[in-house]
Order: sequence, then structure tokens, then C-alpha cells
Amino acid sequence: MPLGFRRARREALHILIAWAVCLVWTTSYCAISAYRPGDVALLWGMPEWVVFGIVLPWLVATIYSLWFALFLMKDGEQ
Amino acid sequence: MSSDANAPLIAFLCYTAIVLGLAVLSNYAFKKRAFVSEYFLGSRGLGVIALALTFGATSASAGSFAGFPSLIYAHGWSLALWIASYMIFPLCGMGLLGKRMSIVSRRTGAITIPDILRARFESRSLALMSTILLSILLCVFLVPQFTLAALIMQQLLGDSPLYQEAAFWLQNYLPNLIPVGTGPEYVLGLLLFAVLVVAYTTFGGFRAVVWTDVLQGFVMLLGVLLMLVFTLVQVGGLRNASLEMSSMQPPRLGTASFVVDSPAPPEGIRIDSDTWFMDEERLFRTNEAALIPAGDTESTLIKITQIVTPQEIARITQTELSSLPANPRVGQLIPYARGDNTVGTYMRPPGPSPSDPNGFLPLGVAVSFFAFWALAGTGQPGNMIRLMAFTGTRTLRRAIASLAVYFSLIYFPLIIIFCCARLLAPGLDHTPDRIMPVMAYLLSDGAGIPWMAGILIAAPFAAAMSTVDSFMLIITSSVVRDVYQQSIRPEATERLLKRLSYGTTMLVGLLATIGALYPPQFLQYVIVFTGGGLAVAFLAPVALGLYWPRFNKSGALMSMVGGIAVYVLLYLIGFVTLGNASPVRPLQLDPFIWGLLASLLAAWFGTRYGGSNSESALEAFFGKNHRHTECN
Repeated sequence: MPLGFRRARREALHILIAWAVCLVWTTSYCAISAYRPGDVALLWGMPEWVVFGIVLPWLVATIYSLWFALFLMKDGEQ
Repeated sequence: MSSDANAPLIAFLCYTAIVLGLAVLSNYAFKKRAFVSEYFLGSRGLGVIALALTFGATSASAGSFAGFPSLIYAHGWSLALWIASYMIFPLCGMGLLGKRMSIVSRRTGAITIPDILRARFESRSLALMSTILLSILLCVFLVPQFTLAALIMQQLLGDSPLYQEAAFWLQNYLPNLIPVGTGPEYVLGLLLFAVLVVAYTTFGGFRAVVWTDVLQGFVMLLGVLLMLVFTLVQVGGLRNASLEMSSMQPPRLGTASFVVDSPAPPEGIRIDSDTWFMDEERLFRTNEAALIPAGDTESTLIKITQIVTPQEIARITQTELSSLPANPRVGQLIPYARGDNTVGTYMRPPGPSPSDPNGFLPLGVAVSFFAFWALAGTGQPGNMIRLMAFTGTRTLRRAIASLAVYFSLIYFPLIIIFCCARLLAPGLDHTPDRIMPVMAYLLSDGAGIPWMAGILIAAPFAAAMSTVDSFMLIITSSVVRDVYQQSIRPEATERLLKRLSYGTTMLVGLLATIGALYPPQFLQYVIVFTGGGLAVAFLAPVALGLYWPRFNKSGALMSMVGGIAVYVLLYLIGFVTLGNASPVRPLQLDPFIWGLLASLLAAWFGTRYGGSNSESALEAFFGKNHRHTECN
């Protein structure tokens, strides 16, 4: 297979893994922390489960997206 | 509402003038280019900002600025989990297919999704089936979008005296245009929206749609960021808002009428919507206006919301109560199926629900939505088309980075704004769809800048238009390019194709308008059903066609049919057994997940037992034996 195609396929695989990591992080953290009964602790004015289960992965995913798009992904085909 | 009640209408008219101006400029720009490629794909000339914002604005439909805020208001912080996969959506939506789609569409000259499938599998039947499926699902999708847009227009402009006069004129002079079950305000909103969108889409084509998307993308961002600042200032900071919210209990929903001792005067007696009143030490808010007709002593039943949180009752009774011209007669009050008498239910999933004892977001549904937003968004033909239209991979890379930042600045602030809306505008739980315009007025009045409401409410206009225009153009391209030019008359002249394209776009707009004159029930379900159906039908065939050389015609056909069959079947079983538009969700997972799994399985099965691909198609798509051209 040509290099350009293999590279595009590898990048797609990276994206699917990133999506799966986000899915596992967000849903498993929220399953453990957000769905249990009891008082909701606040952090930065938000429920703590939102900070660690949504905001933090969102921040990491955005930084990863920037890094992936600007540095990892290659232009065109070689 | 603000004293400057015409501000939203003036903002809308200014906005209309700019949008039509962009369409004229676009039409001028494409006169010297090849019509079909320019009208449907903007001659593949999208730059970074245009690609990022047209992708973002098309994804953010009317639901993002009407349905999503109302869900946040009704169910609280659970919506942060519901929408969480937008953290990775820009990367999935553009990055998964973008590079391959761009390269392949340039090599094959494809300008529509059926074009891509036809080139890959050399199958007219597959292309025709995908065209029919695409056209039907998108036409169905357009009707609730037009309906929602008309409702948004009605809610946003309904208090403007000029709008009311125009609606009055419509009712008097064209009463036959107003079907039973709607009102002149709704029909006026629908006509305004339809005429504007059809005009600029027909006249300007893809380039006008993209230019207006860019404008609309900036308007949405500006609107959200302004609302965020105003909201946080007016609630005294996010921590203060969350502390108050953690003490809240869901309200009770009910009905009431208003009575007077002696017959009402000739002008009747009116109790406005959103009026606070007490009855037997209980605090209520009207969610509709009540009118006691002349000579009568009782109004019709209207919707009301009872506030039950002690802190809220104490705060509201100090500031909001006024005397009423009639006495309330409160009917039955219905407690929430989940969350009644529970403190802090707005602070965590599954969140309160008036009808579902499992709450708004059980864990399985949360997992489904994480898959749904990112993967179904990737499989939307409206998004795929944009991946054929940019100038090169460098543009794609920068657009992904821009969109990642853009979505972060739009979606998470919306959650904060409309969680805080529970403090600023309590008691709208019977009609939460109104929360966006209500907050726009409330925030701009609170900030002492009433005209700002015009800018804030332009965001929902923008969101509705930017989705509808793209889908209308896809339907037109399916009819003109995939059916007429490819199958009926390949030698058709540019002039003929141009006329046919203009006519088809107008016809699609007209049909959607007629459909929206008789709005379907279960709007949100129709939108979710068609959006999921499109993704189930197209994601696997297109993605596997781009990345899997062995994937063949049988696999593609079986994938498309198998996915959509399982998806529709789960909705049908739900319709028959549950008696409403809800699908059955085995293991709490959405039919989209099952449809996608079935589609992938059928793709594997069909490929294993099907024939082989032609060398020329493999050459065009994977370039096994030829030298590659640079995409840029």
C-alpha cells in the first residue's frame, strides 16, 4: 500500500483510540463518582464530577486535537 | 420583556439584509466558474476559517440553541455528560474521513456522496439507492427543522409590535394560510424563515451557504460568550449559582384557571404568562396567558408550575408577587417521576425527569450519547460534503484545530449559562423551550443594555439557518447531479442544470414549508431518528470504502440495508409496544449503536461472500499501482 494511504489509515486509528480513551475516561469516572448518592462536592464552582469527568478530559482532548492536527497529521500524500 | 420590544425584529432585519447581500456576492462570484462544481461544492475552495465554521455551524442545528438549552434548564448538570463527546467531535468529524475524502473526491471528480459510492463500487444501483435514502431522510429531517425555526422566530419576535401587526394582517387577509392548530404568529415566522433561507440558498448555492455559515458561526460564538459573562455577573458567580442549585427540588407541574365574581368587562380580563401568584401558601408561576372572555367569569385552563424549594419561595415572594385581577383555581399538580422531594437532583446524573422514573440520563443512555454525537456526526452527509470542498490537507489540519477550540467555547458555556438560568428564570418548567429568548431579554435588561437582546437572539436564527441551507443543497445535488445528470441526461447543458438546480432548491424549500404548516408530533424524535438513520446508512459504507480495499459492492449494499433495517426495526418495535415514538433500547443502548454494529457486521459478511473490486476503482481509491499526486 502507498505511504499516503497507510499514513491516513494510521491517523484514523489514532483518532478512534483517542475517542475510545475519552469515552472510557468520561463514562467510567462519571459512573463511579456522579451516579452514587450523597452530597455533591463543588470545585471551581462546578460539581467535582464535572471537573474531573468532563472538564479535564475536555481540556486534554482539545490539547490532543490541537497537537494531532498541527503536528502529527501530515499534509497530503508523499 | 424589554421596553425596546422591536430590537429583536430590527436585529433580524439587519441580519437578513447581510445574508441576502452575501448571496448576491456569491452569485456574482460563481458566474465565471463551472456551474455544477461551484454551485454544489464551491469549486473546492474552502479555506481554514470557512471550513471550520461551515462545519461547526452546520453541526449546530436549531436544536443546539433551542432544544439543548431547554434540556439543560430542565435537567441540570447531567447535560454536561450528555454532550461530553463534543470534546472529541472535531477530531472525529473532520479527521476520520477528511483527508481520504478530499483526495478521493478530487481524483474521481465526485461532488456528492452517491458520486463517491458510484466511483468506489462502480454500481449504479448502490448510487441510486443511496440517493433515494439520502433524499427521503433529508426531506423528513427538513420539516421539523423548519418547524423549530418557525417556533424560534415566533418566540423571539412575538413580542415585537411590528411582528404582531404583521401577524394580525395575515390573519385578516390570508386566513386560509393558517391551518387549524397553528396561529398567525407561527405561520408568519415560518414564512419569514422559509423565504429568507430559500432565497439565499437558491441564489447563492454552496458558496453563499458557506459565507453565511461563517457569519452565523461568529454570531453564535459572540452570542454565547456575551451571555456567559452577563449570566455569571447576574448570579454572583458560578459557585453561588451551584450552591443555590444544590438546594433545589424539582417543581410540580399542573393546570389552573382564573375566576372572578362578576362577569368580565367587554375587553375581558387577562393574566399574562410568567405571572407569579400564591394560593393556599403555595407559590406558582403561569406558563401561559389566561383570558377571561367578556361576560364570562372563568378562564380556560392554562399550564402552571409550582415552586417547592423553600429558599426559592422565600426569595421570589419578597420581590416578584403582585396582585391579580382574578382568583386562581388550581387543578391537579403532578410530581416528577424522578427527583420529587429530592434535594440536589439537578447536580448529578441521571437528573430529574417529569415522566421517566429512571431519570433523564441513565448510564447506558449516557454511553450511547457519547458514541452518538461523535460517530453519528461523522456519518452525516452534510458534514461529509464539506470534507470534499477544502483547498488541501493543510486547511483541514488547521480547521480541526480551530473547530476544537470553537466547540469548547460554545458547548460548555451553554451548560453553565442554562444551569444558572434556573436561578434567574425559575418556574418555566412547563415550557422550557422558551428559555433561550427569555434569558436573552432578561440578561440584556439586567445589564442595562436592552438592545443587546437583538444580538443574543440572533444566535438561534443563525443555528437554524446554517443547518437547513446545507441540507436543502444536498437534496438538490442528489436530484440534479445523481439522478438527472448521471442517470437520465448526462449531456445536459450547464444552463439547463442551473435552471434545474434553482427550481429544485425552491421546490424543496416549498415542500418543507408546506410540511411545517402542519407540524408533526414528536419533533425531537423525528430529528434524532433521521439524524441517526443517515449516519447508520452512510457511515460504514463510506468509511470502509475509503479505508478497506477488500470492501466490495455486496458489503456496501448489505451494510447500508442491514444497518438501516435494524435501526428502523427498533423504532418500530418501540412504536408498537410502547405506544409512542420512543424506540426500544436493548441494554439501554440507543438504536444508533445497534444499527451501526449491524451495519459493520453486514459489511464484513457481504465482503467475505461477495465479488471482487475492479482494478480501476482500486487504482482511483488506493493507488496501488500508480504515482500519487499531491493533494495540495
